Amino acid sequence: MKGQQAIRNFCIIAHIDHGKSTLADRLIEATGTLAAREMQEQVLDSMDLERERGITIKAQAVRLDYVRADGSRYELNLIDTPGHVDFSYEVSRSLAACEGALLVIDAAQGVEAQTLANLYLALEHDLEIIPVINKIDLPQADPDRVRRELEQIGLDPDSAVLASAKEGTGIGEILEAVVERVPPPSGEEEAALRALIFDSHFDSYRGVVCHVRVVEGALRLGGRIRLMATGAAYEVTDLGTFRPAPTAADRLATGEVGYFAAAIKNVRDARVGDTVTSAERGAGEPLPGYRPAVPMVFAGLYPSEPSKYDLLREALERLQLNDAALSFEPETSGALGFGFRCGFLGLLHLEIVQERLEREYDIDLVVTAPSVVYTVHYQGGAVERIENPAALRPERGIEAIEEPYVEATVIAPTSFVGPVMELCQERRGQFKTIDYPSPDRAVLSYLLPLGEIMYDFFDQLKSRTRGYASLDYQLAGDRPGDLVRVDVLLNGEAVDALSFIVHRDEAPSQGRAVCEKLREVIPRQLFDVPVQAAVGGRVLARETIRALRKDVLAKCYGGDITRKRKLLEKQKEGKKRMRRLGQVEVPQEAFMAVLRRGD
Amino acid sequence: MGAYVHLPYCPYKCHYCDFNAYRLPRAEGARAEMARAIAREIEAAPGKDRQGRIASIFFGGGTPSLFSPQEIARILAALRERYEVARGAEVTLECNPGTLDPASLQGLRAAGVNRLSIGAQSFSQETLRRLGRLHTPEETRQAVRMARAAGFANLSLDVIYGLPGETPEDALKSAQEALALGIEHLSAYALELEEKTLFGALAARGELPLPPEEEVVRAGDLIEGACAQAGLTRYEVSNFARPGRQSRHNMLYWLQGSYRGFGPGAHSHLFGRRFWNVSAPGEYLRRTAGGGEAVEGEETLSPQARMGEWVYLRLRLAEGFSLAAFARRFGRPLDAAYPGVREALLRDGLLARERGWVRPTPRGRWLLHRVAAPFLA
Repeated sequence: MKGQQAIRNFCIIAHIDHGKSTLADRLIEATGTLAAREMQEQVLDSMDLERERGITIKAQAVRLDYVRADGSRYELNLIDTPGHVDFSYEVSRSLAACEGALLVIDAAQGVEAQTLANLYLALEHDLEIIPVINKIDLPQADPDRVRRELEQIGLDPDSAVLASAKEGTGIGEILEAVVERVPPPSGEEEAALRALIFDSHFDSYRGVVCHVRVVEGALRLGGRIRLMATGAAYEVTDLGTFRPAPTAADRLATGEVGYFAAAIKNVRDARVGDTVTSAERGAGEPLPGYRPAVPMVFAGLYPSEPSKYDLLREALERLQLNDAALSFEPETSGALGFGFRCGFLGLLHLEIVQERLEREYDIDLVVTAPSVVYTVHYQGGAVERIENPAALRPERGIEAIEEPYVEATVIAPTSFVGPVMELCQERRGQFKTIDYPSPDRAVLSYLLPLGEIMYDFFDQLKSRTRGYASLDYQLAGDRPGDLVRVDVLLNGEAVDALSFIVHRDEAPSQGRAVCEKLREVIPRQLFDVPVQAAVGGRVLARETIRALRKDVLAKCYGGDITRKRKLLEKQKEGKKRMRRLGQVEVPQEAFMAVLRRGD
Repeated sequence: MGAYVHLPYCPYKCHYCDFNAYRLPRAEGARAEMARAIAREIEAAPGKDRQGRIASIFFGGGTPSLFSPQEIARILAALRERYEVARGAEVTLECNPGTLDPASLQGLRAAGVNRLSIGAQSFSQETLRRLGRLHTPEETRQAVRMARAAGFANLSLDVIYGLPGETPEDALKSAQEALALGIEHLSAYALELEEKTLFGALAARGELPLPPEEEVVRAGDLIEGACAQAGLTRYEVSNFARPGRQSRHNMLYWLQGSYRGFGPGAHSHLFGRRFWNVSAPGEYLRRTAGGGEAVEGEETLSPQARMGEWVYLRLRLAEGFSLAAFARRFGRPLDAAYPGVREALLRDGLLARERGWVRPTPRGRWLLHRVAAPFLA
C-alpha cells in the first residue's frame, strides 16, 4: 500500500468512563508503537504532561504502525478528543480531522447522552462509525441490550465489535475494522496545501506547537506557511509525528496527521480550526468550520491583596499563551477594586484557571459568581452585550433582555422521566421532545437558559436520578426573558460584585436564599449587619448578621501563653482571606453565595 | 520569678477539661514516684535559671490535693534547695472539694502552702453532676471552713459560667454563694469548649444546650456586679480579688514575667524564651529517671512577637497599660509601633478614652481578641 491508501485517520468517541483511554492504550500497545514494558512509563509521562498543561492538550494524535497478517503496512492515526461539554468545539475540530470513529459503549451502561451527542457530531462530519461494545468482561455486561439500543439509534447492530479493553480482547478485530471500514483520505496531492489545526499547545522552546491534519498538498520542513484566519506567515521550524513521543520528519504528506512549530508566539495566532496553507501558493478557500473560541461564562477575578493586581495580569497573560479560549479585560468594582472580567468556555474551565492562578502564581483570588452574557435592548434602540450584571443600567429604560439558551439532551431510565422533567421545569426549561430508543430508556430534549444549568444542574440531575441520567447540550441562541437584576446590600450599601440577574418570578425566593446564605457565611462583625436583596430599590428580603458579643479566651492555663497566641494568630490568618467591603469583612465564599443559593 | 509545678493526676476527668490531666494510676506509689521525679527535675535544672528570687510557687494540675503533704513538702524543699525563695512568697495549691481533710490541710500549711485555689465550679448540685464532677456544693463550703480552721488566710474559688442549661441568674447565684464564703479571690471562667472533651464532642453534634452568647455575656456582667458588692474587683478578664489579694502567680503570666515550670507538660518562660515539657506522665518519668531533660519544645519570640504578646497580655488586665510604660519597654511610642491601630479601636469603642492609658472598655474586654489581633504579627 502506498500514499493515502495506507493511511487511516480515526478517533475514539465515548461517554465518560466507558473506557476510551484504556482502549487507546491497548491499541498503542498492540501495534507495538510502544513495547509493553515501556507502556506504563511513557504513557504516564504524557498524562503528566497533559495534567501540567491543564486543559490545553485537549486532543492528542498518535501514529500507530499496523502490519496486517498479509504483511501490508498501514499508518493509523488515532486522534483523541476532549471529554467535557465545555470543549465541544474542540471535539468537532478533532472529528473533522478524521474519516472514521470508534464509538465506544459500555456493555453494562449502554448508550448515554454523550454517546449520542458524539455520534451525531461524528455523523455530521460524515465519519464511518465502528461501534465497540466495551467491558464485555463485566458480570453486568449485556451486549444484546446494547445491540438493540444501537439499532434504535440507527446503527447496524451487526457492525459492532465486542471488546474488553481491560483484558485486551477484541483489539485485533478493532484494528482490522479500522483498516477495512474507515475510508482512506482522498485529498488532492498536487493541490495547494490545506491543513487543519485541530489542537495546539504552547512550548516555551519552540513556541506554539500545532497539531494538524494535512487535507490537501503537503507540509514541508522549512516551508513558508500562512494561517488563513489571521493571515500571518511563518516558516516551519520543526515538524513530525507523535509515536507517541514527537518524532521529527521532513514532511507531512496529504492525509497525514502530525505536528509542526513555526515560532508562533501565542496560541491565539494559531487557533484550533484554522487552516494552514502555503505562503507562496496559497489555497483560495480555507477548510470549512472554523470559528473563534467564544467564552460562554464570565466572572470577575480580583486579587485578595490589591498589590497583586499586576501579578494577576501577568499571570493571565501567561495562561492565555496556552489557552485561546480564555479572555480577560480590566474591570473595576466598587466593592472589590481593580480586577479582571474573564471569559471561560464553562465552569470547569473557570475552575481550572482559578486553580492554576492560585497554585502556580500564588495569587489569592476573589472570584465573583459567574454570569452568562445578556443582550440588553434599551429604550431608544441601543443594544448592549452585558458580561457583568452590575453593568446593567435599569435607569436607562430596558425594553427587553435576552439570555443564551441551550438545547439539552438528557438520557435517563424511563422510571426517572418524572424527576428529570420536574428539574427542567424548575429551571425554566421548554420541553421539546421525548423518545424511547429502548423500552427502558428515554431521551428528553429541552430548551434551557444557559444561566440556569451553568452551576449545579448536572449535580441535581445526577442526584435526582440516582446517578443514572446523562446530559449533553449545545448552544441554541438567545431568547428574551422577563429578567431583573437583584442587588444585594450589605449594611445598607449595594455590593456590585454580588448582583445577579434572574427571572422576575424567582427574584423574591432567590433574593431570600442569597440573604440567608450570606448570613451563614459572613462572620459576625462588631455591629449588626443588615443583609438585603432588592430589585430596583424595592427590598425583597432581609436578614441580620447579629453583632459579635464575645471573643475572648477565659483562661491561660499553667502559663501556656504559646497556645493562646497561636490561636489568635490563626484567627488573624483567617482574616487575611477576607475582603473588607465598607465596614464589613467578607470571605471569598460570600461571592459564590449567589451561585450556591440553592444549596 | 515564679515556679509552676504540674501534678497531672485526677480521680476522674471532668466533661469540659482538656488540661494535661490523667486518671490516677491504680499502682500504689504512683504519686510518690511523680513527686520524686519532679524533685529530680528541679535538682537538675540548669544553673542559668538561678537568676532572681522566686516570689510565687503554684501547684497546678490535675488535682494537686491528691498528693500527700509530705510529697508537696518534698517538692518545695527541692525548690528551696535549688532557688532562693523569697520570704513571704505566695505558695498556691489547687485542690478539689472532697479531697481535703483537716489533717492534710494542717500538713500543707506546715509544708509552707499559704494559698488554696479551690475548684468549686458551681454551687448547683445538678450542674456539678452535668459537669462530671463528683463533689457536692456542701463539700465546697466544708473545704473553705476546714481551710480557715487550718489557718489559710488567702483562699480563691473557681467557678465556671455559661454552662449547658444554665441561665445568667443561675450563674449569678453560684457566684454569690462562693462570695458568701468570704473568700479573698474569685476566678470566674466562661466555659470554653475544647475539641477533645466530652462537651466538645457533644457540642460538635449539636447536643449540648449551650446558652446563647448574649446570655453568657450577661452572666459575666452579673458576676462582676456581685463581686464588686462583695468587695472584690476585677483585675483580669476572669479574675477578681480583694485589694492586695490578686494572684501574684497569675500576674506573672500577664506581665510577661519569668517562670520555670516543672512536671509533665509544664510551660516555662525565661526572658522571651518559652519552652515546655513532654506531656505524658510515663514519658516524663522515663526522661527524668535518667537525669535527662524533660523539655519537649521551645520557641524564642522575635522582638516583634514579644512586643505583640506584651500588649495582648496587658490588655487582659483591667488596668491595661500606660503609653509611657510601652514606650519605656520598647523604645518607641505605641502609635509608632502600630500606626492607626489604637485610633481604630478607640473609634470602635473597644478601648477606653483615657489620657495616657490603654485599656479595654467593658465591651472591648468581651471582644478582647478583636482588640489584640492587630497587635499580633
